[in-house]
Parts: sequence; structure tokens; C-alpha cells
Amino acid sequence: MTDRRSSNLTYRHTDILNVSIFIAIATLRVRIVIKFTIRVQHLIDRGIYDLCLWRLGSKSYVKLKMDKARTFVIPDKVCRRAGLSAVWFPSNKLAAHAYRHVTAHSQDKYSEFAPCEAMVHLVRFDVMLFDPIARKLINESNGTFLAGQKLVAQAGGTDIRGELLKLSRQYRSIVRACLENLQSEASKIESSRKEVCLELVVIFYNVEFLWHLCEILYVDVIPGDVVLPQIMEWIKFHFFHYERQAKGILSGEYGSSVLDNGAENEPEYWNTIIGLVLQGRLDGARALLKLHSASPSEPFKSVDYVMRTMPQYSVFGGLSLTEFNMRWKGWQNETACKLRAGTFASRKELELIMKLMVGDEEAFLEVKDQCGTWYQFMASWLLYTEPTVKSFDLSYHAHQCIAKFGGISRLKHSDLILLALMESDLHQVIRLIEQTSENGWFAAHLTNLLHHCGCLKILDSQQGNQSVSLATNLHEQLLLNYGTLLMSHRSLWQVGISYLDHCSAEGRAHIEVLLPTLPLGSEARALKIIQVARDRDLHNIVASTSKIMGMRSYQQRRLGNALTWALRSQDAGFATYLANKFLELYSREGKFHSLDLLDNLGSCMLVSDRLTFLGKYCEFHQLYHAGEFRDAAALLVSLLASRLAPKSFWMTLLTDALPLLESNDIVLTSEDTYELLNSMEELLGEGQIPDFGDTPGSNKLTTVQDQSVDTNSVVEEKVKLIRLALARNLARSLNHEGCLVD
Amino acid sequence: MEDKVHGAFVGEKINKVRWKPKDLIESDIFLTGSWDNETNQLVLWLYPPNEDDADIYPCTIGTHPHDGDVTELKFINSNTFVVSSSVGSVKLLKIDNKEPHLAEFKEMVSWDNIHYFSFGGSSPCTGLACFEEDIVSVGEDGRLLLLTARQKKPVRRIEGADSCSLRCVCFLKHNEVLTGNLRGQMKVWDLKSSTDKPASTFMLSGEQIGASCVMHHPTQRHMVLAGGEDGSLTVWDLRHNTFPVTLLSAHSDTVSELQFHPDRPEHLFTCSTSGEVWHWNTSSMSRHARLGTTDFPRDENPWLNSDVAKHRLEVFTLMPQLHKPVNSLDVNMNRIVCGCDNEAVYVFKNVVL
Repeated sequence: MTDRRSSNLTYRHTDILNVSIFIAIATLRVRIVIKFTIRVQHLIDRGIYDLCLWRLGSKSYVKLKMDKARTFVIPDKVCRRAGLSAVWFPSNKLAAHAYRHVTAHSQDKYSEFAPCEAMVHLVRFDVMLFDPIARKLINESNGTFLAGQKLVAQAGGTDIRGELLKLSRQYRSIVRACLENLQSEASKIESSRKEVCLELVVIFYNVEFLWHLCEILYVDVIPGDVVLPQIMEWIKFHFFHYERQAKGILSGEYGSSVLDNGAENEPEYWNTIIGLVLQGRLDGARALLKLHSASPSEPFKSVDYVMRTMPQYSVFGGLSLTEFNMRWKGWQNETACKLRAGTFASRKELELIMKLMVGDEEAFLEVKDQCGTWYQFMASWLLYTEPTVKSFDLSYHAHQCIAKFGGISRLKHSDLILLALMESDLHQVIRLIEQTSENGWFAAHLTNLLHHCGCLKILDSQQGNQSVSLATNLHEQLLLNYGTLLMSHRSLWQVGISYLDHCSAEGRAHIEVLLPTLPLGSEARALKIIQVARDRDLHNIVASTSKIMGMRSYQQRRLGNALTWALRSQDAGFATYLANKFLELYSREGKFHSLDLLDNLGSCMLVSDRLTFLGKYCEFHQLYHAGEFRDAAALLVSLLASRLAPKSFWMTLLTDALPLLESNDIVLTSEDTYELLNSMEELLGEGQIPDFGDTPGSNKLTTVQDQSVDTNSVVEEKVKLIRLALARNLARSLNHEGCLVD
Repeated sequence: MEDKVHGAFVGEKINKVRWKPKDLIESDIFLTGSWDNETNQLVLWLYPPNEDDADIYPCTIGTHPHDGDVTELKFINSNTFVVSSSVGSVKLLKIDNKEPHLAEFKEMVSWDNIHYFSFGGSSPCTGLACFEEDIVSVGEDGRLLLLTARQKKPVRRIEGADSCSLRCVCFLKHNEVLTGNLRGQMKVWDLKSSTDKPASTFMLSGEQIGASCVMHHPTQRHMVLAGGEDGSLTVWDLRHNTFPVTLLSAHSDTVSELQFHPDRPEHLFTCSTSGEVWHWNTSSMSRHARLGTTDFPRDENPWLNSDVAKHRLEVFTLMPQLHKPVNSLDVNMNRIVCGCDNEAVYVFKNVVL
């Protein structure tokens, strides 16, 4: 991998090259051939050349859509000549590099391309959601998601539909806020960001549009299942073209001639009125009709009357369903009579409007184009033919209307989702939503919400009795996908974890695999990762992360910090290893490193025997330097007597005892002296003397015989001195103790 | 309480947040520094104190790219601040606020790579403390550097100030600083002393609990409060000895920052990686002390009266527990701003003092 600064390679955008990459995905144990299509584009990112993105989809997606393989160009001179290979990098990245096949028989020599700049190109998926503006949506919706999970956990069986509806609206308002941000960003700048923003606007507009209908049909509880008023709201909310036009005409924006000549001179006058009528905005239509120059005439008055008296169903209107139906039928019959009597015959436009209002099929076909889409058409049709339609009838009507608009084959992706929603085929809905291009945000959150509403249970009953609930599986799979995607982002891993947390079956396993792949970076980041692992009782990850941080410190020759990490994770083995290193350094240099740490080990020195010894030995030095010889001597003896000290270090301890033995005051009793003698004999009896100081970096034991004459004589000299000091101290102490007894 | 909290999503994890100081009047600008992003940045936000209109959100008035994570931000006067980075550098930046809605950052001094590992690259600078124009910085490399805003060359460097990573630092006097390390060892340094040895050393607690933040009392600088990785608060009276006076188990996880109210030191604010923001009110204790209804000596600081005081500490949570760590908070008059890992900043208005 070349450093960005040292590389002066420039990409030639004309380089076009077809490369096939064979990728063995170890986890799947299959070989998948992905053809990369050529497109030169790169992002330079943190010193690594990132070749950005191009939707390969999730692994399973690649399998399904092999025919839709795409090719990308890796702009690398060496790759072009030598060929290319790639491996998966943790979380959704491919590392592509120049490749030469090497076998046991290949000659070990420079390749014909040397010298060259070898580079590893990281290819990653373009994740739209990671756009700076969409990131706000990720985080905000994460809060809502977690609030939802908490709500469900606390509800314990009580009815929380009302709360869930609030959450659904919250999700939609988050999407709308995101749309607003995107639009203001798109209107601000002229650069390439504009395109991206507009693309995102389209995606999220669609998300909100679909979510809204889904909320009406599945989340909201509508008494009596009369969904049409809500559906009309949905249509009015998203299609406001005619309303805007009407406002324009009413406020006189379209010209000043309204009051003089009547508004009918506006080119869009009748279209607007029909549009309003189709959406059930009768107040607006009446207001416009009043602007007509002939509005005081009889036909206009009749139309106004019909519009005014049309019964509107409302759950809280105090009318029962049958009563409403009777009134509605009465009103429609009355209007039909008027039509037949030719009340409106003098005004063609009025007649058309009235025909629409009595549900005349021919009239509807005439204005079909004004409806724009089949679902707008359906809503208008139902409004004037069957206003109390039940949600389970929607499927039938939807098919009828689609047929009028050219049949299923002409439906777009979002139309298919709408149709599936009306058919109550949630499985299909989710499957289609998964294929939309906002990287699983929509599918994961919507499915989660529907899951809590209990809507997905239908899936299970449709699929018969299966040992594992299909709905739970689907729900969990979507959360896993979304969570894993977030984990692949440098900064959003904490958000990703909170989704994986709510996958009961496989979430934990995913966290266990993904968490250790996060780059650690600074200690602050490592501590955050450890905190996440600790909160989830993933002790092995806490231990391994601490070990990595410790090893990193060790490699930077910061033994003190390495030991701190070892102690934090109670890693006895590592602590022992480091304690040995400290002792080794002491033997070599005669002084301790990181004394500030070693002098203050406290109770944590008990993690390993060797560390305990190290701590105590430092304490001995501390006492000795403080002039507290008696305590120092007692500590020294106890270190030897308890056999806590490693054999290799005994000679050093005995040498340390020399000044104490020779001091003016008697600091070692006869008992102590015997103990020291005992240790000395044991050491010499085994014929083992450490060779500290001669071969730095090793603390292995060698036999006396193997040592050079020089060393031998030094050691012998030392032993002699110690023996002498021991004998003298023994004599003195026995004498002294004898006196005390007297 | 809820309606007094105002949250805004900013699209990056905030590691530090500071109000831009303004003399005597309420500040309407705060500065955030992000971390863990591919490109981190410093952002200046305008948030005018408007009581009537609840729909005013903080808006960006200036951004500045920052190399590495922002690990600490400190203002040394009303428009100059010091920022430390995880790539081992410290920078002095000036805010050029010509128009009310447009500000520019100007780099005054940059101390590059002052924290580094002798074997292996740059070391994150983990903390900063300022005393007028003196700046002291500490890093994972265990170095302690004394800088001054007036010169590029560091005034003093203590190479092996600690064998562990230093995590936090604060000035006790103009010549005395206190550092805390990864294992909770606290050291007092006399910057005038010619030796590179600490004046005194003591432990946060018996266990290996790292010190995550440390702060002195605004008026009684000998009283020091430290937050630990286990969420505890430890109080020392450095006049007497180095044993903690009080040890409070507070948050359920690392105390990420603690701030006394600059003008009303009886109020303390803490936040933690467990997502909590707390307001500690000791004024009732001080009032009792004033009235002479308790046994406290008159001028005694309530924090230093452990046993009696513990039961009378009033602690409020400023918002429901957040699901992500709260990394930083700052107090100005009666507004508090905090920055979190859920990529949002929250402003608490009209905090009752």
C-alpha cells in the first residue's frame, strides 16, 4: 500500500480494461465470479485509494443477480499488465491488488514488473445513506427505533397501538425533515452534490409516500375499517397540484380579469375544478365555481347545492354506517335525477362534474388522464361509488383500476409496492421494499414497526405451521443486514450495534464477529469499543481488545502502559510476561523502568506471582532507599522464603542482601540468616546460576560448567562474599539474640 | 423539563463542545469538535437565546477541517481557542466573526507532532488545560508540555511524566498542574521545579480505575474533583493530604466531563458515556451552612463535607437517559450544551439554578 504523499501516480481516465476477479468467499465456500465493468472513478481516502462504489449488493444479492454483473476498472498500471486478484476485507470491502500466480515451482526472483509501485485498492459499496445529510436520518431514526423497542419491552402485552402510531408518524417526520434538508442543500449549490441530493430526494420522497399508506392500512386502527377518508388524506397530502392552482386562481395570481369577466377565462379553470372534485376537495371547487361569471345562474346553484349536501362519513360524525349509506344513496339518487332531468345540460362542464359525482363510469374514463395514476383514479372512483369501502376490498378495486391504466405490466416498482400493500401481501411488500435503493433503512424500520403491530403474524398463518416463525426470521434478517451495513462505516458502528442488539437469534453472534474487526485507533476509541463489549458481557472481546492495546504499547516499548492494559483485563499471562521483561531490563540496566507504576501497583499486583514479586521487589528498593533496613530485610527474606522469586533472580536478591548483612546494626536475625543460607545452598546445589548481564534479552538458566571462566570466577567471588557476610551476620545475630535471652 | 431541551442532529459524533465566552451576557455561539469521522471538523453554531420561538435551531456559521479527532477544546479569551488532536498536535485558532452569520477560523499557532511515541508514530494528545495564556497538554505518550500562546516553541517538556497514557489535566495554580492517567494515578507537577519529578502522587481509588476528567473548584482551587471510568466522582482537598475526602458512586459508566457553573460554583454538571446528564445542586447545603443550622463551619465547601453532605446532595437528571455516550458539556449562564455520540447536540435552556 503506497502512501498517498509518496505516490505521484495519476489516473488516466481513458484507461479501460476488463478484468475478471475471482473471489473466494470463505464464509460461503463458493466461488463467485464477478465481472467488473469499466468506469474510472476514484476517491482518495485516508491515504488509501478507494475505488468507490458501485452496487454489488449483499452477498446473496450477487448470487441472485449474477446476470446483472457489472464491471469496474481498477486504474493501476501494474494490475493492467500483471492481472488482478482481490480478497474480502472486513465489512463490505474488496481489496484488489496486482497478482501473479506463485506455486511451489515458481522461481524466487523479482517479477518482470519490478520495480513498480504496488498498491492495494479498496473497493467498497456506495452507500447512499452515508451521505452527510442522510446521516442525520440514520441517527435520529435510531433514537426512534430504540424508543420503540423499549416501549414494546415495557408494554408486556398491553395495547400499544396508539404509541406505535406515534412512532410511525415520528419516522415519517424524520424522513420529511431529511427531505427538507436535502432540498435546501440541492437548491443551494451548483456542484455535483446537487445531483446526489436530488437523487436522494426522489428516494426518500418515495419512502415517505409508501410509509404513509402503510401506516393507514396497517398501523392505524380505524374503527369500522372505513379506510377511504384516510386514503383521501394520503392522496391530498401528496398530490397538491390542483389545490395550488386553485389557490392561485382564487388569489388572482392568474390575471386581473377574474372579477370583470369571470374566472372561466383562466386556461386551467375547469381542469382545476375537476381535479379538486376528484380529490374530494369540494369546498375549493365551490369557491372556484363562485368566481364563474354565470355563477348566479340555476345550474351553478344546483351544483353548489349538490356539493354542499354530499354526506361525508366520519367515525365521530354520530352516524352509523347503515344510516350513512342510506343518506348517501339518497343524495346520489337525487343528483342522478337532476342529471336525467337535464338541469345541467346547458353547461357541459357542470354536467361532467355531476356525472363524476354520481359515479358515472364513462365520465371517469373521460377524466382518467387528469388523475395521473391508477391509485388516484381508484381513490376518486371509490369516493363517488363506494365511500365506505373496507380495506380488504381494495385489492379488487386496485386491479380494476390498474387494468384501466394499461395493466400490471406497465406498473413501476413503487406501484407494485402499493398494489401489494392493498393486496395485504406484506411479504411481497417487504421483498419489493428491500430492492429499493436506500440501503435497507426503509425495510428494516418498517418491518420492525409492522412486527410490533403484529401485522407480520399473518405471514406465518399463510405459510402454515413452520418450526421457526417466518415473520421473526424476516424481521431479524432485515435488522441484521441494516446493522451490519452500519458497522461497516467508520463512525456509525455504535448505531449498528444497537440494531444487532435487537436480533435475538443471531445478533450477538454478529456483534462478536464484527466488533473485533473495528480498527482501534486511539485509546479513547478502544475504550469505547471495550465499553460496548463489556455492556454486552462479551468478555473475550474485552480481553482481546485490551491485549491488542497492550501489545501495541509493548511494541512501542512502553512497558508501563502495556502492563496497565494487562491489569485492566486481568490478563495473568501477559502480566507475567511483562513482569519478566521488567526484571530483565533491571538486570541489564540496574534500574527499573516505569517506577511510578511499579511503586503503586497496590492489590492488582496479585494478578500473577511474577508481578507480585516485581511489586514487592520494588517495595524492597523503596524501603531500602528510605533507610528502613529492618523492614527491607524482612521483605527480602520473605521473598526468598516464600519461593515467590524466580530462581534466576535469587542470586540478585542475595547480592542485595549483602549490604544489609554488613550493616552496623543487626537487621537480619539468625532465623533470617538461616533462610538466606538455605536459599543459597539450594541454588548452588542445583548447579544453576543465572547468566544475567552477559547475554542481554534472555533470562534462561545455564549450568555453571558451561559458563566461561571469567563469569565463573565472578560468580564464585560473589558466592564467597555472600557466604562470608552470612557467616559474620549469623555470628553477630546469635550473639545478640543470646544477650537478649539473658 | 422536556420542552427546555432542544436537540439538533449534526451528522457527526461530537467529542467536545464549548460556549464561546462573552463578557457578562449570555453567549449565543458555541463550538463543536467531532471525532471518529473520516474528516473531522470544528463547527461554530449560532443559537440565539430566544424565549418565544421554540423552532429556532442552531445554525452553522463557520466550519474548519481538523486533522484527527478533536480531543479537547478550550477558549483562552472570547475569540481565541486551543484545540488538541488525536494526531498529537495542538493548535491555537482565532475566530474571525466579521458578520453575525459568517465566521472564519484563522490558525494562529500550530504545535505539530508535539506528542509522539519514541518508537512508532504520533500519539494522540488527550487533554489540555489553560491558565490565561499558558497551555499545558498531555498525551498517550505520557508527555506533559507547557506551551504559551505567544510562542511556537514549547516552554517546557517533561518527557516521561508518566509511564502510562495520560488522560486528563488541569491547572491548580499558575505553576501547578494535576494530571490523571489510564490507571487512575494522579500527579501534581510544579512547573517551576527544575526536576522532572512530580511534587506528589496519589491514586484515584484502590482499583485500576482510569481518571477520565479532572476539574478544580472555580473559587477554591485546592478542591479537586475527578471523574472515573467507573462513573464515580472523587473529591480531594489538596491542602491537607492526598486521600480523597469523598468518593461518590455516581454514573453507571465513565464520567466523560464535569463542569462547575463558572459564576455559581455550588452547581456542578456531569455527563457520562452511559448517556446521562446530571445537575448537582449543593446550594441547599451551603444555605444551611450560612444559616448555621448545621455543624458545618461557615466557609466550608459542601463538597468537602463528605458524610453529612452525601445525604443532602440534590441531583437532577437534565434529560432522559440517552442511548449513546454523552461526551461533553459546557455551561454558560443558565444554558447548557452537550454533545453526544448519537451525532446530536442538545441545549438545555433555563436551567434552574
